Amino acid sequence: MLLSKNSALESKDNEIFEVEESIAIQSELIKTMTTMVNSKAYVNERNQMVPEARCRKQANYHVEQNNKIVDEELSDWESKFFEVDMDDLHELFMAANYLEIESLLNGVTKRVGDFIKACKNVEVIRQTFGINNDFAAQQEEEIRKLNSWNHI
Amino acid sequence: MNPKLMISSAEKIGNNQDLLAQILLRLPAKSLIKFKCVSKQWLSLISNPQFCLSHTRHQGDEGFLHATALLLKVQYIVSPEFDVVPLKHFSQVPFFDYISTSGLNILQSCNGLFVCEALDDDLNVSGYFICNPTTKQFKKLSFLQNPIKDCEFYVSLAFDPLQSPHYKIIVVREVLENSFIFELDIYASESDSWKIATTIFETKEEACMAFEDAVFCNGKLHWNSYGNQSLYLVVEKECLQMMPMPTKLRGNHRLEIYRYFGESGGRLHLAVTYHAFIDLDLYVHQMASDYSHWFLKHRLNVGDAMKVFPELNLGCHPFTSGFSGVSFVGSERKEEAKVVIWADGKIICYDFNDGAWKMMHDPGPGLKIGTPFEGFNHLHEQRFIPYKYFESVYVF
Repeated sequence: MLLSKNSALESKDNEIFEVEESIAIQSELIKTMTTMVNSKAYVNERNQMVPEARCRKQANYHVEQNNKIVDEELSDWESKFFEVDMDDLHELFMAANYLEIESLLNGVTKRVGDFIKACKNVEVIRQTFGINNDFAAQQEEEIRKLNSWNHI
Repeated sequence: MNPKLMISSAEKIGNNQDLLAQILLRLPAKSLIKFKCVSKQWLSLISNPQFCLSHTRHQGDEGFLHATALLLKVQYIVSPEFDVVPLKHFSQVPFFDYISTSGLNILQSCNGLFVCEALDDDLNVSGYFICNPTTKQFKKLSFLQNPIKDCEFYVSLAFDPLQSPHYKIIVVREVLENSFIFELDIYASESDSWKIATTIFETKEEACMAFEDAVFCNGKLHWNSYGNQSLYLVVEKECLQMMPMPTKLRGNHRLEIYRYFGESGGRLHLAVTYHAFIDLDLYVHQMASDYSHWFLKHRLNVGDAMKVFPELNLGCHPFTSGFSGVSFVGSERKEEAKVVIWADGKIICYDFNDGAWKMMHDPGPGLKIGTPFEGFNHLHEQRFIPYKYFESVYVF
């Protein structure tokens, strides 16, 4: 029976997080950076780039995720976790992308995806995400027509 | 929350190629098609073959793609139109009219790509196309060895985006009229080149091969046959093999009518209809994984279906609506397929998981899906041919 081991992760702002190893290796990046020596885990490189706030959020996410056993509970909790504004979503996104955490990435992208799906049309998407329409009117019309599926 | 801050975060996401790709990867294909006109960056990303392959693969579930819908094509009608039977969410599927041709027949559907033959006004074949209905992308096939007058010429497709981003076209063509001697050509999209006559083989007339009815799964292209044996091609190895077909039933005045050939979850299925006076049986077989034999999964009786759906005219007398168009569709548990049948304007299925007949799609009270061609209401005619449709942004 293995005792749970803790990894020490240092963030960009020099704050040290003690995270259970099984949680730390959910990040593909951290997994590849750690090596096992004499049954103790060493962190070879410090996690320099990720600012504190992100790290904390991520650590919390995993602790909570592991505490939830029932699937239903987990999906309920997950939807609430991701019910944050675009700013936080962006933070989570950057963290999940850099640290390569599949489950976190799935949750965040799904939420942003829901935002997009909620947009009634292409113009609303542009407004929500501040995207500049760089098509000429005729070009846009052509693309729209080619990709419409309306038929009698 | 400062609104200005909020906009800028959203902007960062919307304009960041990597993040955008991650988000769009998880949206359904039909949404992506609509978003092509958002901006040039979005168009470029959604049309990028690498991204499209990733997206297609993301739809895979444990190594298989699940069909979005069935397209029901009326037999003998060469119109680019069809009826849609949704399997997942409601689907609209564009008709084939973007391929400008007088008439069109679907030859085969394969994991998101279709191969079709185009016909001219005199109903002669004027060309062959592969296409992806979701994106309306299509391409005319060109052959090194063209069809010879009065000789058989069959075109099939081998494509599985979960295994490889490339596709292969397999042509089986008779070398001399009525000779039953065939050559097999293979085209590889990866190298854009043909290998001519990789195999030369002879079948006998009594072999009753149905080269027009091909099914690709597990890296092998299989052909239907009404004889005792059939053929399949191990595509990568370009190696032609034989496989048994189920032995015909004898006696009991049972007349074999049709062999419906298909696959689900990587397993070959064959449903054979037997007519005995007023009764109709559907024997559903599944091929063993070593191709040594077919085992009978179930003997379905249309009489049982009639009891479950008394309002449907499932009678198997000649000139009644009866049923048509058998297809095999994976259910949630990918091991067991459902046998899907068009029945008097509704779509019913037999679910092996529950051992029960169910209504799969009912367009509404008094409404019927599909209008079979009036002249062919006989039991022996297959009025509808179902093809699996996979909503996919795949670019070839």
